Amino acid sequence: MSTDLEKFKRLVEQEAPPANALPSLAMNRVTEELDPEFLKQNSLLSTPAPLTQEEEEEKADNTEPENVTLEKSSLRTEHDSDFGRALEAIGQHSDGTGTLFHTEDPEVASPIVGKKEELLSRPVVTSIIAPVAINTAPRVLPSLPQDRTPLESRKPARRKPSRRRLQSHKRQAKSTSGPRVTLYSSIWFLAWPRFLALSPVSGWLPPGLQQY
Amino acid sequence: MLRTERQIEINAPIKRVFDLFSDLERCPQWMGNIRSVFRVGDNLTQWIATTQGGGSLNWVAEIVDYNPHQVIAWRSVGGDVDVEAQAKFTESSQQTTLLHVLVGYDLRSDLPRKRGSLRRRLGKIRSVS
Repeated sequence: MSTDLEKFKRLVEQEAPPANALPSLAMNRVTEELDPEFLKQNSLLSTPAPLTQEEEEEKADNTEPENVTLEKSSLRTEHDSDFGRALEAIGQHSDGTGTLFHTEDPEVASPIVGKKEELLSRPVVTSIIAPVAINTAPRVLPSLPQDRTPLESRKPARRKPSRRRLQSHKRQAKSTSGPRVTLYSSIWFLAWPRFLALSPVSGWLPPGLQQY
Repeated sequence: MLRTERQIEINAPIKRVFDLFSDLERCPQWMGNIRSVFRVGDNLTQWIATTQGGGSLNWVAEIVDYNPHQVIAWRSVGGDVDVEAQAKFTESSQQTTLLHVLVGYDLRSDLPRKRGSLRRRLGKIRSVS
């Protein structure tokens, strides 16, 4: 039975991750199990809780534009505000080619030109104003073959004929030369007296042979 | 009745341990001799076990105690074997689960006769061969 229980334990732990092994999953589980009312009160959910009458009146009092501006600026750092001004200037005075700092308008140029070096030293700003040069030339990997002829037109390398192939060639040559030699020799054997009779030395032949 | 008692600590939440253990139809996945378990009623399950000799034993069990995440117990109401089982679940302070299992089983009185006939048949086969 203990082996069965060990098997059961493995099965349970395979199906479910251990409760104390993964803190992130455990945190998710805690978040799922939290009371929605608690989440609403702490503004952890996206839908805000409905406001009471007192809260609405308080909100109406605080909806002046100055306060809103103060809240936004208080949320930003100095870096963000500089960057935001630069972006606004790009939208107003740039012609799309990154000529922000060449504008002749002193009202726009002066606050930004003064901080040009500082802005350019930041990687975010330089990446916007100075476009990165992109190498459009086709890359050739060194490991690829440089031969650009199509594969179909390439001749295969000539192979050295094998010994077996050479022997078969020799056998074929012997078989063709043998009968031809025999034929020539038999013709010559039968017709040699006529050749002799036509030859200038025919008068030297013995009389028995001159009748041919 | 022969009783066996075991306890094991499982590194899983008590809910998951209880859910898997109380799903009796999945018992063949981790019980060695159990071939299959079918639900035949609200609290009734039919069990088929394989013996070491290759035979099979059948019985029907009734769930007599079911308290979610705490205890489950069943007892046979008919078949070849008398079975009693109880499992208790306790959550430890380290979010693990302590599973305490008590199982008792007893063969029915007519089974030895079946076994005896099997032995006689085996003896005949051996004597012939």
